Formats: sequence, structure tokens, C-alpha cells
Amino acid sequence: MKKWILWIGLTLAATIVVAVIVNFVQILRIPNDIMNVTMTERFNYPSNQWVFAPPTTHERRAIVRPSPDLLYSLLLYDVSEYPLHLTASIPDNYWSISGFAMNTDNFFTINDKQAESNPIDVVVIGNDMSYTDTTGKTHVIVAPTDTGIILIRTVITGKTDLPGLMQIQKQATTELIGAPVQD
Amino acid sequence: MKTPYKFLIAAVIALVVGGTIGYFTVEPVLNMLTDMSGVQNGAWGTNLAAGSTAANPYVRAWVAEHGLLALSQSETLYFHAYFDDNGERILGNCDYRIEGKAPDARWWSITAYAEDDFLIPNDQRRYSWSSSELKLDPDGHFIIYLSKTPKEGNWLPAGDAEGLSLSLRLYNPGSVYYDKENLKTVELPHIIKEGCQ
Repeated sequence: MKKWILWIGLTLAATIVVAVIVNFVQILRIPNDIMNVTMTERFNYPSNQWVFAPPTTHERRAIVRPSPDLLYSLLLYDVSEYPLHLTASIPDNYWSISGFAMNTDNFFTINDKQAESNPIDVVVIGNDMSYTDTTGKTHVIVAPTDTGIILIRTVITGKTDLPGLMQIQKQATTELIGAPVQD
Repeated sequence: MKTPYKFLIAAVIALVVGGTIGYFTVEPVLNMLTDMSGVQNGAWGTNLAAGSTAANPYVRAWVAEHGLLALSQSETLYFHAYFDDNGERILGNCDYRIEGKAPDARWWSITAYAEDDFLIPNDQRRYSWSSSELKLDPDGHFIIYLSKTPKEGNWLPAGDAEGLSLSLRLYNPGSVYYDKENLKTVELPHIIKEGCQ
């Protein structure tokens, strides 16, 4: 009788251990899984190119809990081979550029007050790369993962300001440093 | 029964039952542990680790599901409300008054979301009010009306949503919000139910 109680206890303990491990592994996977789906299925844009989104409405369902008061410019970065050089013009109101690694971590944010220049100059490099800024005005960012998302947020101050803000938004540029020029 | 068979049966039960329990309890565990590491102030909840590289795996997973691409707290604070000031679920068939003093931030907004975490369809295409457009009283207070039917003033349409939630975004907030103890008591907008249809 006592042996049966021991076996039931062991089975119960093992069940709890398995449940905790499975639960934790699932939770660890969620951020990377969601980023992968977002980048390959929801956005599915070419990497290292800016996408200038119009103001968010209820019809746009790519990202949960979007802000309808912001203009978003999005770029799927890939610095596995070359450093990525970005520039963007900054309007008069709140503006920021930020990077998100594959585990969803916000690894950098620079807002309009922190930018060294206008247009802002940013170089994103991979973990194993180096880049020397000779201008003193370039923000050099080391990306913790070779791929991820870079996002520019621009506050929409009013409907009448929107055309001007969208014009500024579209002045953003991108270039892979040292990459062969494609025909 | 021989001992090796007993081990085998115990292992199979542990793997099948434990694996099933572990898999299907992801969401409740995620919500519970994220809540435990967050801060609640009246109707509003926030987690200072959201978006940060210091976030624990539970906060990181919750943010991925409910607020992907959230900025870290050094830039922006995100407060979410699923319940009103009385602790009752915010519902689309009820009228609410969201009122308070303008938060101390460079720019802020209050946005309504449907249960699926997306913006609520409405003919007015009004999904939020922000500090750029919200008219404040001379003493710095504001009122937003959240309801299905139109209201005079700052109306936030509830559309046909059943359960709603609100997000309060503070961009470049004042230092008062960065103390975890202060954060529990600092004045945030009240969400007051006025009645239901």
C-alpha cells in the first residue's frame, strides 16, 4: 500500500515538473514567434527599406493596440552582412526612431530632442561589426540580433498638419554600407 | 507489476498530463505573473519593465501579445484600463466619463480598443484624444465621453464593441511617474460609469 502512495506521489511531482517546463518554454518562445510572424507574414516587406504607413485606422490590423495619433515609418532591418545607414528628417513636434530585436526588446530609442542632427544620421551594425563615426553626429547602434524592426513615430498634431508631416516622413533614406550596388 | 513498467507508466502520465496542463495554462500564468510584477493605480495598470531589455520572460511575452513594438519606459509609459473606477469591466453598452488633470508629459493620448486589441470601427473615425487637440479647462482638467451614442464635447465612440479597454500613453513623462511608489498614487484620469443601456 505504501509503495502505491510513493508511486502516485512521484507521478504527481513529475507531472508538475513537466507542466512547469512546458509552460516556461512556451512563454520563452512567444516573443520570437510573434516577431517572426509579424515580419514574414503581416509585414512581408523587403528588408532594409522604409515603408511609410498612413495614419492608423480600424482597417489596419497588422499590430495590436496601435496609436492612431502617430505616423509610423517601418523598416525590417537585416545587418547580417553589412552595416545599415539611415537618415530621417525630424519635424517640430515629438518624433522618435527606435529599434526592436527579435525577442521584442526595444534596444534603442532616439527622440527629436536627443538627435545629434536634423536630418538624423544613424548607423546600425551587427554584433560582430565595427563602425567609426568620423562626423561626431552619427548615432552608432549595435543591434543585439541581426534582424528586427526599426520604427519611426511622428506625432500627428492635427489634420491640417498631416500632408506636411507625411512629406517629411518620406524624406527618410536607407543604405547598406559597402554592399555591392545592384543593377 | 515490475518496477520498470511502473516507471514507464509514471513517465507517460507525467509527460501527457503535465504537457497538456503546461500548454493550456500559458495565458493564465502569463496574465497572473505580469499583473504581479506591474503597478496598479486606480483603474490603470502599467509595467515599468515593458519593452525594456530588463523585462522578465513573462512581461516580454505579454508585451509581444498585447503591445508589440512598445517603447521602453525611459521614453514612454503605457497604462491600460480594462475596468472602470469601481472595478467593473468597461462595456460598450455603457456610458463613461474619463476625466482628470492633464498628465505631466511632453505629449499624451487616450485611445479606446475593442476586445481584440484593435481600434474600434466607427463612422467618425475617432479612436482617441490626444494632448494635441484636447481642450482643457482653465485649471488644466479635461473630460472625454466614451459611449455608443454621440455626446457634446470630446466624444470617444464605443461603436459596436462589447468589451472595451483604454490605453493612456505618456511620451517623455515627468519624473513623478518613475518612482514605483509614486506611480501607485499619482493622479491619473478617472473612468466613471454614468449608466448603461
